Formats: sequence, structure tokens, C-alpha cells
Amino acid sequence: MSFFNQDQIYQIESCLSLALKRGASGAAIEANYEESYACGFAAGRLKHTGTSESLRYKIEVIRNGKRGSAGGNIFTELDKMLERALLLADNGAKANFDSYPEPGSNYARIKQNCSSVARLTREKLVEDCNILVSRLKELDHKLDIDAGAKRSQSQSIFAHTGGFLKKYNYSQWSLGAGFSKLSGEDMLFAGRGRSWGKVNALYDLAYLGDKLIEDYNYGKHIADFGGASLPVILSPALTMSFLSPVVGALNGRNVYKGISPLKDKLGKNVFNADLSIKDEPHIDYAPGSSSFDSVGLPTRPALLIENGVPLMFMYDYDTAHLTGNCSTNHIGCAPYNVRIRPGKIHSKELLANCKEAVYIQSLLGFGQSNLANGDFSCNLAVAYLVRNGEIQGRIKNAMMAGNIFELFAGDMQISADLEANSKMPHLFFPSINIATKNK
Amino acid sequence: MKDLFFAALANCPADYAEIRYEYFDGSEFSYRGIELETAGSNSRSAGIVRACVKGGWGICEFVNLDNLRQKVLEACADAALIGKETTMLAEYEPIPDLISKAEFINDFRGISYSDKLALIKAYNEQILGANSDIESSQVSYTERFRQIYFASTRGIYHYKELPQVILAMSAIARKDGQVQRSAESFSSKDDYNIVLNREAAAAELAQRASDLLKAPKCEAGRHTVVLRPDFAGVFIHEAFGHLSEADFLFENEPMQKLMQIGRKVGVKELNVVDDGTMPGMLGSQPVDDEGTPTQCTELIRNGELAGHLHSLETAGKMKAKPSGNARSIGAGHSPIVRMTNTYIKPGKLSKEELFAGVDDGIYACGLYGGQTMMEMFTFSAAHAFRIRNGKIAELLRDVVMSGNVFETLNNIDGIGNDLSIINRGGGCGKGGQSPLPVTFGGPHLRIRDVLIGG
Repeated sequence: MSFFNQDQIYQIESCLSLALKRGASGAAIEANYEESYACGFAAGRLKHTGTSESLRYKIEVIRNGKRGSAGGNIFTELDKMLERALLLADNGAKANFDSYPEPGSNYARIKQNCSSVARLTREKLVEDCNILVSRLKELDHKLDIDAGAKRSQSQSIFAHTGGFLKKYNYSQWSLGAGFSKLSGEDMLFAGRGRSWGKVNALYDLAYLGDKLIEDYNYGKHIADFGGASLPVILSPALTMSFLSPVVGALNGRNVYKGISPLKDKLGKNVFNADLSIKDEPHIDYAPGSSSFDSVGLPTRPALLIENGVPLMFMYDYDTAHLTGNCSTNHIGCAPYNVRIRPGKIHSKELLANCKEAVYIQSLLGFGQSNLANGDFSCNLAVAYLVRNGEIQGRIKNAMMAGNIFELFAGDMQISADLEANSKMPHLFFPSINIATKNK
Repeated sequence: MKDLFFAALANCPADYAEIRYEYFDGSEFSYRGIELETAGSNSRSAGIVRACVKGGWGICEFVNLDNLRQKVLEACADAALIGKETTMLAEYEPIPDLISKAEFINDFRGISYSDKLALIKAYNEQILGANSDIESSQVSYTERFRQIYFASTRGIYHYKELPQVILAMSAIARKDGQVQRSAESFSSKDDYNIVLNREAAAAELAQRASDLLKAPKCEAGRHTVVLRPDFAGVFIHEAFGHLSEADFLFENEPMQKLMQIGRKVGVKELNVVDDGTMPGMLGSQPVDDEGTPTQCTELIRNGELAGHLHSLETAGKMKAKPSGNARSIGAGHSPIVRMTNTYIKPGKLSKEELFAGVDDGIYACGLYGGQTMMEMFTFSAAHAFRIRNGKIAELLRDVVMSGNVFETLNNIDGIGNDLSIINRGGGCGKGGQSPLPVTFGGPHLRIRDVLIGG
């Protein structure tokens, strides 16, 4: 796919030159065009299908030590939006750097675009959704079943007055299904999905179907549970949610603003020694991968936490200048692809070792907790009671509360096996307080 | 535009088709701590064609109006490929031509960037200097102006303008490794004055963030809770409003039975409406994004389920009247069934009478967020107080409520005689479309046996 042709590249370069002529000391333009095809099943039937195109661009300028930005999607208005960005810069935020840096060297070569995605035809996507829906209908014809699939191809261009210009393509597919089961006033919801930049082994209908059937079988009976402080096993989907406040606390801007609980903790034994987290920006076809940051400097893998010790804070170019640190080339001071070092025990063994525990598949309302502080208090959306290593049934009307930093500092175990798409393990915590209506 | 749209839709090979095209213009300024972090603006346009053939929908999203007829035909062809049933879209009395221009009390577009920045700078400095516990702040100003053009094969052509201005402020306090946040927002569709003179609110939230550092957590378990009207509003929105959206029901027979009109769902004093016609409210507009006139829909009348919220399709399939609740956050999105302004109608008890019935309980105020999985809901109070012997006592932090909607609506044992519905920033999220401007509110509400996470 090629959307940005030589004329548009010339327009972008002209706009950057005009910015300098208009008194800017630096300017950058990022533009993105995407084409996609999607289909959706509702109530077990193919309900909609269609195409989508989107275009957006953003101009950032620095003038007289201040920053301004303007965005749009009408390419002929590029110069008009430049004027708006300059006007905003006159009133705008302090720029912590005056000009964009010259391009760096040794950029990683990351595969982000694969023709296998373009070969996912409309018929193939519809048929694959149909296969998932049919498996669930066979399981229980009363289920309310949704499914959806999408393929997208994008082209982006990033250029700035420091001499950086890169045009690149990327592709992505997504495939997922879910169901709701109503019994009286009880509703069981389950959903599974995957997404990647290349059609490979992750595009696995059998896996998604198996997992949904597992969700159904585990969840169809409600367990008798009175609430208690119990061992908890988190699903891989939840592991990333629990890691987010920890990773957010390594955001250099949050540290500078004083809102990071890890502000003074670099080099100290803060977490359980089994916890090691790294950032991997160069994984082929991973949605978060990038070979360069927000000013075009090359990205690098980084070890964020090793054996429970936070090793570094992440800084983008602007925050690095603000705080007097070196940039770690992290866009928005955030990681690209978080990876956690696996433990030594398989999740099946973790489960088998539990005399009584709760296995949590998903939570409701986790994001509305005071996560900056690590505190959480939320519903168990889909969770199961485990007795003697066996899942007994689903837990209803229960809430879980605790503090993430305290949990990661205490006893915990990390599974050796990782979920194939997210590369996240299961986590085991020996005791979390779970309240129910009954207790 | 009208001629262009109708030419593209002429003789279109579908049971129904529509074109929606939108120009969006907006700006945002935000302080985070002492620094101004953002001074940005966005101006864009996009459109969508939806076509329905034998019950199947074809969609074509686009960025410019070139070859519009071709885009209509593409959507029709997609719809024809999948449609295998009968198109059942509700009929209603349409407004053939509608031009709805924004009417302002004080138009934010006439105010300079520098004045807006000076305003939020002053609030930000006030929060940062409020007390020694304040570690950081976030103060932002946002303005949006949407111009939406719509035409359908039913021969209607509508143009509407939807403006919005938002001021959002938060204070972040820190002491001994503890971080607490307090936030407030104000919004209006027609009056820039809403963001002016908010010094008292800035002072109050800074003080509260500091006070929350010392506040204890509420112990987990069942409590009697009095909800302040803003919290009562988010409760009814999350707990019941989403269940009333008929796109969850219209092709799901068990759900239809569960949400059957006439079913007793709460105490008999409970009355709930969704009203998209309320003047000045963020959820209001003359017509929805399928061109259906908005209306006031009774959802619960005297404790019994009285109505659902509908799009053309859900109303058609459920043999109901369309209620004007098909809404989209922007032109690149299909309209789905959404709430507008949802509130609990006032009851008979004074606030004092509500509190008098509580020896040991929780007074939940403000909203931090809410989520629902249909019958199960959860929402967090911005802050809360203990109620002891009918009096408001100490401040509490991290109060998160959870429950089953039907059980909870039957556990309401007191409805206040006050009513408050306030325009705020933020909005509702559903189906990947967020934030949609909505409002919610109600009177003070007392509920027994509410599960608090602790």
C-alpha cells in the first residue's frame, strides 16, 4: 500500500521549511493513513461488514522557546494548521529543547508489515468468525454470541527539521469472539481475542474456541464462596493490568512530577527478587514496536527492573531536557513492549498446588481505583474458586482489594509458561482480601 | 451538501441508506504540575455511509466527499452480501429538513487562546499553592465544535452543531509514600461562563486531596449507603441505564424476558427517565445520529420497567417506537444505542430524613468512575464520609461499591426530594466509542446492604 506519494512528501517538507521561515526553531510532522476491512457477528449472525479509511496528521512547532501543536486530516490545509500551531506556540507550553536532533545511527530493522495480512480476504475473515460462532452454538444454542475480525494496513510518515524523514508501512489483524449466558438473573460473559502484525501461529481459531469453551465450562456453575483472604492466581490478561502501575511509576515525567511511588527507589530492593521486567521495542510484528522515538532517535531494549530492583526511569527527549537526564528514547516516557521474566513453575502446577484459592480471569472496575498509589478495589468479573487444585465454579458478587506495590514486594510466584500473544505469565499471590455479600 | 447527499443516495440499491459527514474543530490546553504540557488544536472531517439490505449492514467510512456515490454503492454491495433476513427499521414521523445551529450564552470561540490559558494557569497555581501536601496538579481546558450533516433514503436532511467546553481540575497530594487525588470538572454546550470563577472549587479539591491522605479506608463488607445526587446519577447510569439499551436485548430472547416491560425491578417509589430534550444539557440534541427526534423515555415507572432505549433497528425488531437514542461519538463510528440525560426522579424524603435513618453508614460523594457487566456493576466514589447516628462524620477514601442491579434497586429504602443533574467533562464509553457526552443525576438516595470493596 502506498498513500503518501512524492507530492505529499514534498508538501510535508515545504511545510517544515515554512515553519522555519516563520520563526520556528524546530518543527515536526507525523501523518498516518489506514485502510481496513472489518466484519462483525451479533447474536450469532453476520451483522455488518465494511471498509474504513482514516487519515490524520499532527504538526508540532517550537518558536521562541515554546511549543504548539495542531492536527487535522485535510492535507490541503497543512499550511493553515501550521499557522495555528505557531499561534498556539506563542501562547504555549515551554519547550524543553530548541531544535530537533539529527538522526541517530544503528536503527533496528523491525518487520512491521506483512503481505499475509493483506491476503486475509473478506470471505476468509467472515468464515473464520463463522467457525468460532458455530463452535459456541454447538456448545449451547442459547448463548448470545458475538464475533469480529479485522485486517488493516497503514502507512505513516514522520519528518522533522533536524533532517529525519521516515516512511513506513505496517499491518495488523485482529480476531475475537465472546458470549453471554443468561440463567435467571445471572449473566456470564466471556471473550477472547488476538491481534498481530503477521498471520502466523497466533491466528489460531482452535485455541480461541477451546478457551471460550473452557470459560463456559468453568463458569457455568456458581461456587459457594463466603469471602476470605485467600491465595490468588491472576490470568495472563490480568498480569499486564497489575504491572501497569509499576511500569507507570518508572515514567520519568511522573517521577519528576512527584507522583511516582518509586521516586526515590532506584537501585533499592523494592520488589520480590523474582520480578524482572524489560522493555523490548524491536519485536517483529508486535503492535508496540518502533525503531525510533518521538524525535527520531533510535530505540533500544531496556532492563527496567532486575531481581526486584528498579534500574532506570524512562525519559523521552523533552522530559530528559526538563529533568537534566539522558533520554532513554521512550515515547511519552512509556515502554514499547513490556516483558516479564518467566518463573520456574508451570501455571498448571501453581493451580494444582492450591488447597483453596481464587483464579481470576478478569476484573471489573480495576482502572477506577487509585492506581497511582497502587491501591485497587474492584469486582471479580470472571473468577473461579479453586479447591484441591480443581476449579469448583464461578464466584459471584465479590470484590478484591489490596495494594499492587505491596503485592509485588511480598511473596509471589510467576509462572514459567507465557500466554503466546501477550507473552504474559500467570501471577500467584499467597493472600488477597476478597469480600462478598456473605462476608 | 444536501444536493450532494441526495444525488449520492438516489435510487440506491438498499432497503435503507444514510450518509453522515462531520467537521470537527477543537482545542485543548493542559497543565500538569507547574508546566503547561499541551497547547494543541485539531481540525478534521470524516464521514460514514451505512446501508441496510435484508437486515444486513454495509458500512463505508471515509475521509473526504470525493466519489460519494461510489461509497454509497460500496456500502450497499457489502450489505447485500450478508443480508439474509428482512430489514425491519422502525417507522416514525420524521423531521424532513432540520437546521439546528448552536445558540450560545457566551460563545467560547470568541475568547482568545491567551485568555483561556491565563484562566487555567491561575487555577493551576491556586491548586499547587494550596497547601504543603500538594505534589502535583492537572488542569485542562477543552473546547469542541462539531458540525454534522446527515441525509437518509427516507428523504430527510439534517444539519446540527454540537459545541462543548470543559474545564477539568485535579489535585494530587502526597505524604509518606501515600498519593491521593481529588478531581472536579465543569462543562457546558453553550456557555463559556461555566469555566469562569471556579476558584472555590479549586480550593476545595486541593484541600480534599490533602485530607484524603489522612482519611482511613472503609472496611470491606455490607453497608447502608446514602448517595449524593452526582453519585446517584452514575449509579443509575451504570447499574440500570446500560441494561435499558435495547441493542443488548433485541436479538436475545432471554435478555428480553429479563427486561420485559412491566417487570418489577425496584421499589415502587423509584422512577427513572432518559431525556434527550433537556435544554442546555450535554446529552441533548434535536435528533439522534439516525435522524430520529429525541424524546423523554420513561425507563422505570413506580418501580416497574417502563421502556427501553432504541435505535431504528432495535425499535423495528422489538415493535417499539424509536426513542432517538442512536448516537455516535464521531463520523467514523456507526450510531449505537446510548443514553442521553438519565436521572432518578425526586421522591418525598428530605435530606435530613434520609440521614436520620442511618446509625452507621457511608455517604458517597462525587464519582471517580463506573463500569458495568450488565447485571453486575461497580463504581468508585471520589470521596465519602462515615455517617454516625444520622450525622456526617469522618472522611473516607477508596470507597468502591459493587452489586447486582436488581437486588440493589430493591434495596433502595429512601429517595430524597431534591434533584441535581450537572454537565461535566468525561462521558460514557461503549463499544469502543468514548467519551460520549451524557449527563446523569438524581436526588439523594439511601440504599441498604451495599457491598463495599474496602
